[in-house]
Amino acid sequence: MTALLDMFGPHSAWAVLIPWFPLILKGFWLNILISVLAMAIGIVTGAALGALQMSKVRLIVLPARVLTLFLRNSPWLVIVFYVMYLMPFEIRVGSQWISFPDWVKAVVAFSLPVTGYISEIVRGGMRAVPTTQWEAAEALAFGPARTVFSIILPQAFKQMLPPTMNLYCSVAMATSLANIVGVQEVITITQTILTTETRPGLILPAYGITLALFFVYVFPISLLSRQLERVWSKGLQR
Amino acid sequence: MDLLAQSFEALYHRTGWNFSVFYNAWEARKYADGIYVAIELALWGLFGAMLLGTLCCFLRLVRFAPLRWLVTAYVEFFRNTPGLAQLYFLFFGIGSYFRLSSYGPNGEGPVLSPMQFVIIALSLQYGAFVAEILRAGIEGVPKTTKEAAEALGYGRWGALYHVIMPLAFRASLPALGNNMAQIVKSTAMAYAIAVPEALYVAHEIWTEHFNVIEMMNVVLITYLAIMWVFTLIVRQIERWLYVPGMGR
Repeated sequence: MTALLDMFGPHSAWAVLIPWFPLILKGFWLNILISVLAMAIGIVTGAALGALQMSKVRLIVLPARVLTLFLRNSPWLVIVFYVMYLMPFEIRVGSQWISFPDWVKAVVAFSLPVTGYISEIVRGGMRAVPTTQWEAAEALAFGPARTVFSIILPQAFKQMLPPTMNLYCSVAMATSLANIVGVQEVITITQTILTTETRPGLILPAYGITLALFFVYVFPISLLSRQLERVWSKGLQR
Repeated sequence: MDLLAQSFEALYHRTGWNFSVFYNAWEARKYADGIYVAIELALWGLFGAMLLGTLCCFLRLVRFAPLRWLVTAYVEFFRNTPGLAQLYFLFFGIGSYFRLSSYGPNGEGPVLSPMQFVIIALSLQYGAFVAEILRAGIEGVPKTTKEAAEALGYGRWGALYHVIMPLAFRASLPALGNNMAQIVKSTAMAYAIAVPEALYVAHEIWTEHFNVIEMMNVVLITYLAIMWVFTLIVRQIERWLYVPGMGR
């Protein structure tokens, strides 16, 4: 019983950790920011790459395929290292110096694998739309751009949204890898707190908190994605 | 081999591209060991994940509800938290709390090596994924097939073993293959707790020679090659297990 009370006493691990909470949350905010920005960039570039994969010209299709495969099959951590070490920390545009803080580099790094995955999701989604739809659009004299944007994409959207949400979950979780290259995200901050407090008893609850934070953020998204998948797949099959 | 080494050395002297792993015997040896460790991690992780995933998949089918909830909680938690945070939690948290990862007071070695921690972390994380994949596979078996098995007098577990699982397993193979690819890629996170796998060794080498660009590319190619071999193996397994008339 006393052991149980100790867990919540003024000198317990939790009592020590609570003042650090705002800092931990600030770190987690950076994780969310990195994941959202990386996803946004990745969706744009990935959609473009996916469209190239759907091209009719073989000379375009092949490099797009290879690039997609390459981006999908490289370990995220290796990509993070790659970008961190090889991207300049500032570039000169005219007379202005634009600097890239490390978290911006992290955004660039994570947007690369996202590009690959989105490219594949787009290709799969477009494939899932029946060929008759393309033919119908052609019969109605739609141009290629209008066919894609006003006929194919709205239908492929349902196919593409759940995997994209799953991908976002993966990205949100992968942002923790930025810790290894020193970005001040939630795990780095947890480690800093642990070295500041120097109490071995804190290690377990501190890492437990980071795990819980990620879970609380990611789990609802993944539940929603599963729900959408279930509902929409029913509508599609009929 | 010697010719290759010489040509890479000549490349370095002529252009400054320093692929030291190809001509420096010591580093070549270290890097080869690194690749070996990465593959070893991947294989053990895969084994652990399959074992744990299959076990969890079966545990989710038992009639005792609290056990099912427990397993579901495990699966959802490990699927929705980052692997690196899990690894840190296991290695620094659980490991130091139960004195598994540190040296004892009399200098006795740690109970579990960092490498074993990575294997445990990979198994726990991807075991959860495997459990989910297999569950989806079982749900994908047509209801009529299940009813047919019942009509033929199979019991609950008999039907599962003889009829449902063989079908479900084959249906889940592509997803399992993807999962395996994820495991191979995730072995890179062993870098974080100083397990000398490919990325870690490469890091050691480039801090010595400042040949970051060359080594990064070597690492990337290494992983792509490992992934490629694994994909080929998965495809071969799919071909072996192919049942005429099922799928496609």
